[in-house]
Amino acid sequence: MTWPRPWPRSVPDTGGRSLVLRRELAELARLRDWADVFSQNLRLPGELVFRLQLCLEEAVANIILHGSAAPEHPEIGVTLSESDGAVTAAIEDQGQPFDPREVEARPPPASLDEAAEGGFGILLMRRFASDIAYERVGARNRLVLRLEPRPGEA
Amino acid sequence: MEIIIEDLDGNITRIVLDGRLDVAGAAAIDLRFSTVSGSRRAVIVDMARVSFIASMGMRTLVSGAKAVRIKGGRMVLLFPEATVEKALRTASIDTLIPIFHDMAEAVAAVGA
Repeated sequence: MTWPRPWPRSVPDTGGRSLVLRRELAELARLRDWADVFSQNLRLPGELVFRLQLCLEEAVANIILHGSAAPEHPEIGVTLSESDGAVTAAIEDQGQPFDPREVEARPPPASLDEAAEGGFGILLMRRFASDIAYERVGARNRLVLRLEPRPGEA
Repeated sequence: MEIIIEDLDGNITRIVLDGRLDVAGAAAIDLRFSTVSGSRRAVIVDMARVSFIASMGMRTLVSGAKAVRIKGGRMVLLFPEATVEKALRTASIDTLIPIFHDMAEAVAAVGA
């Protein structure tokens, strides 16, 4: 498995850690364990860790379930870095262009009968990440989530 | 992710979930959860031992709640931990499946 160099890029070199995942849901456990080590090393507050775990799971699961891979480069790359208590997660893949910010925000359903069963992922990511940036870089989707600590977060 | 089904007085079913309601956890319980939900009319989902939830887990819960509703019944969530409850409220799941922190109130809510 090769990943075109240089990768990842445009993430400030603040001692960030990178992980390359196969495009399989089973990899989410490995992603979580890896992010947990990162969080523990930095002693991040529990609620921030929850938000980070959720955003990573939603972003990567989305790519695996709804993205379409370039056969030669099916991997997904994740980089985590931290600065002043804020965590930045960069997620790159070489699938078809997909910008999660373009997904229409659905209004909350009025009742259980009207509720769709899915579609909560994008909403959760938008509320739990302080900032979501997306760019298409050549053949890559590049999603950068920034999670700033929130007042009162334990 | 583990799922335990208990029958309470008054034909109320208590579904106890234990673990992480992430993609893997939701997949692990989905069939049993939907089967039970589809056959009961008063369901209390005990979330006390659920340590994490993401959208797939919410999808499983909503799907189960809809199955109970089709039978004219009701599902409620009981004792979600603070961060899990925050995630549920962020996605407005609480407006679809009410959240309780008191067993008696939960029983009253599904029993009527």
